[in-house]
Amino acid sequence: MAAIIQQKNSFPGNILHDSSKASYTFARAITPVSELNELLNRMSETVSSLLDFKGCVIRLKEVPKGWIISSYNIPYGLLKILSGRLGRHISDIVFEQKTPLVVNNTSTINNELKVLSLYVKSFASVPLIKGENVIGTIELYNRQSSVSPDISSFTSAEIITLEGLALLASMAIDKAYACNEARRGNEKLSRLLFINSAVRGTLKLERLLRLVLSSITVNDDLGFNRAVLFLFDSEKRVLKGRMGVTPGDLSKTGSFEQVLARDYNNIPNMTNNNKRVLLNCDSRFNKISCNIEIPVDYNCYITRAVKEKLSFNVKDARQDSNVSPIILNNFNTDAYAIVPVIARDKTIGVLWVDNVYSKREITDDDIEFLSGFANEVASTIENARLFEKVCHAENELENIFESISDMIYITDMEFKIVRANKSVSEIVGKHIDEITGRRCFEVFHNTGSPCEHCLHTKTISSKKSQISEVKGFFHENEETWLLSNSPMFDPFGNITGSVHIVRNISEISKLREQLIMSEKLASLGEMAAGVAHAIRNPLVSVGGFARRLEKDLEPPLNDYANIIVKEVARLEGILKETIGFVRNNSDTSGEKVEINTLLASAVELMENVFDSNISIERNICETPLYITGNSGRLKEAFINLIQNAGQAIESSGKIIVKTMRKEDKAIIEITDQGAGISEKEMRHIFDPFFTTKPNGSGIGLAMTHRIINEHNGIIDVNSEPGSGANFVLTLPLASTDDDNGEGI
Amino acid sequence: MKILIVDDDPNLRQLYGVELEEEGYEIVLAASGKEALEKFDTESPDIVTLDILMPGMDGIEVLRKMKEKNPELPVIMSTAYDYRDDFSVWASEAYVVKSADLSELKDTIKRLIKEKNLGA
Repeated sequence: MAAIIQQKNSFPGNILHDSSKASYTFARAITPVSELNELLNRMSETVSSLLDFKGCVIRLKEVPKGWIISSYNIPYGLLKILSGRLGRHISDIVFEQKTPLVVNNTSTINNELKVLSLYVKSFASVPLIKGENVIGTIELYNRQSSVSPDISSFTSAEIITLEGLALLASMAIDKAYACNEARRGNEKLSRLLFINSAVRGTLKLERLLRLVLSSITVNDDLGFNRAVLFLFDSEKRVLKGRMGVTPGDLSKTGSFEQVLARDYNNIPNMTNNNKRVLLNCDSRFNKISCNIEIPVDYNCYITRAVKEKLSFNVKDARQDSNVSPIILNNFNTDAYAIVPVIARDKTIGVLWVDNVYSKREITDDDIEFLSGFANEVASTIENARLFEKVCHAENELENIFESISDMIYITDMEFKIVRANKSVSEIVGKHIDEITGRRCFEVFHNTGSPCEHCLHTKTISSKKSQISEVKGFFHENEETWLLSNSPMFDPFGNITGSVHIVRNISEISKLREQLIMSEKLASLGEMAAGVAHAIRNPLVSVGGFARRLEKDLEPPLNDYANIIVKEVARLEGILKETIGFVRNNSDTSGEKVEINTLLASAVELMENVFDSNISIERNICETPLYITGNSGRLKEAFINLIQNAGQAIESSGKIIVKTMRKEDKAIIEITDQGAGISEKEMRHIFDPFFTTKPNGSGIGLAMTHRIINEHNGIIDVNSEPGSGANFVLTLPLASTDDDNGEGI
Repeated sequence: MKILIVDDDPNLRQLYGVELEEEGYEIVLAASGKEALEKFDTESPDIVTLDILMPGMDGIEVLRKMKEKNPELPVIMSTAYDYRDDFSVWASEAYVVKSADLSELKDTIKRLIKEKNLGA
């Protein structure tokens, strides 16, 4: 090989004088260029023209990718040959020997490079040296000297010039590498910063994830072909695919800026980019991704990334036993990488990427970038996730608030209603806009100042919850309401208002009154039984012996004895009524009773009792009204009511007795035109021993109430003082085997 | 015609005693359930008037024991309040609520005597 090496000083020529000029020209040409590929192109062109070569190839040894090749004016076919075995040989020699190699006439070559002469008449190759190492070569082909138009030889001066140019080139290449590195780093950094500020601006999880995944699948040298985010579900203990993105979803040429412009079209310098690409979230890849669920206890790379907080770069997925078949089958991938997404020391998921289309190998550098990226966005994802949960919880609360049938509203310190639920608007009958912002006493009580017993005021002053029962809580309403009022505090513990819960308890309070009544009766029963027994015996003795005295005494003493006898008889009468009332005779099960007939007989009986100044008007329906019960007891009840009506009539008047059928109920109304019942009396009208009559025992109506209750009926009374009273009995009809009932 | 009057109240025993004696009956008095059962055996009454609420053995138990000994013998239950719903008194022939006016009791005794043909 030494034979073909041209002696450096054999042809001194003009160019020697131009050596410094050549260096100057070369340096001027290449200095402004810092991008490597452009630099190499510029170099090959400039060096060819400076040294009168027809074409040029520059090779750079790139670890680990192989060679970067740049050429000037070399036809594609020749470049293939030169880049193949032949060119490699020349480079190898120069590489090994670290010295230039010049062949002025290839036809003189007789070793393995001889075949070159077919294409190349002359060539010169010079190593590109950085420090001690050869980083590449510059090869010049086919000299076309202006001095000798034919093949011209290369002078040693020219070789020195070439070596000088190679040194300049090496420096420039080195600088370009450094620049490239710096730019890449810079770009990564600016992208991270950009994404960081972009993702901080959104709390919408869906949008955030799309932005994150899009930004790492952009079609440039930082981007991956596909990216999937798996989130860890700590309840189910699975890793679940949350979103998958691939450039197939984007425009093929989608740049990082385009992606951002798409997701953030308000970024000013990107608005001119009208070519907005809509990300298809229903893409097949996304669907596949979202359907993947991997139990975290299953041991594979993806779950290990979660558990061990490690990144994995899987180079041969098909042979690796640590690769989950789920990943392999769904993504059909040869190589992929996984990095954990860690927020506040907790792995919230993993980021999965691959380069299925470009087949570009994923480098450690990529993983490092991805990890940094994952860490940057992790806390934002976690925040968005929490935010989503909070939103969900808030929605739920909102639904509960609105759907609850109690009225709930919040008032501030000035009684203004801050919030109110749907029930408030429904019950008050006002639109919610007419309620919020107004003061509670205006809305509910139609007054201009707070109520006397305002719970809100009590709550504010005591800072404690208040409960109260109110009849007619709001304007023109007479039902019973349960009010509960609790203070509300701001985060600093200052009271800001109160929350009111208002429930209609009319039904409950009615039931409660009934219960109290029956409890009263029960205890009364026990007491009366005891008293009756204790009184009866002495009474019988007193009365019995008085009778004997009456018989044997002379006037006027026998008259005195008679007074004792009569008074004892009266006392016994009261005792009998009381005992009869208390007597536990509630056998209402057996017989079928026809109300109309029974009522008619009671009316008849009472007509005989009443004086002629009282008339009874019958308004009995034609349908027979069968109920199940005790006819004797019911008759007693009817008699009591008619008697009561008669007693209410002072001089003369009319009693109206009416029956009708209403659905499966029998209605019996007994109306008088007497003095009526005052509101105060009304409350106690069914209480035992309550009476307004000078000679009443107070048992009649209590007894009636009890009898109707025993028959599962209801007794209502309507009255206004001065215009009589109206008693309404409602009794359940016997189940509809009415035909049999006719036979009673 | 012998009537056994059972009542823990001495005044009532006295009242019933004089009133029924005047009606022409022979009277035997008992102040407790225990005494009533003894007299029931020794005196062999024709009719019994029996108070229900008594200290110690109550009238209902006395009634049961008497009916075990002689189911045909008429017993009138006499008490301060209405026990008619208590089916254990159904075994008695009659039920009379105590009253200063003894005519109901006297009528009942007469009716029972007639029914049982005791007076014949």
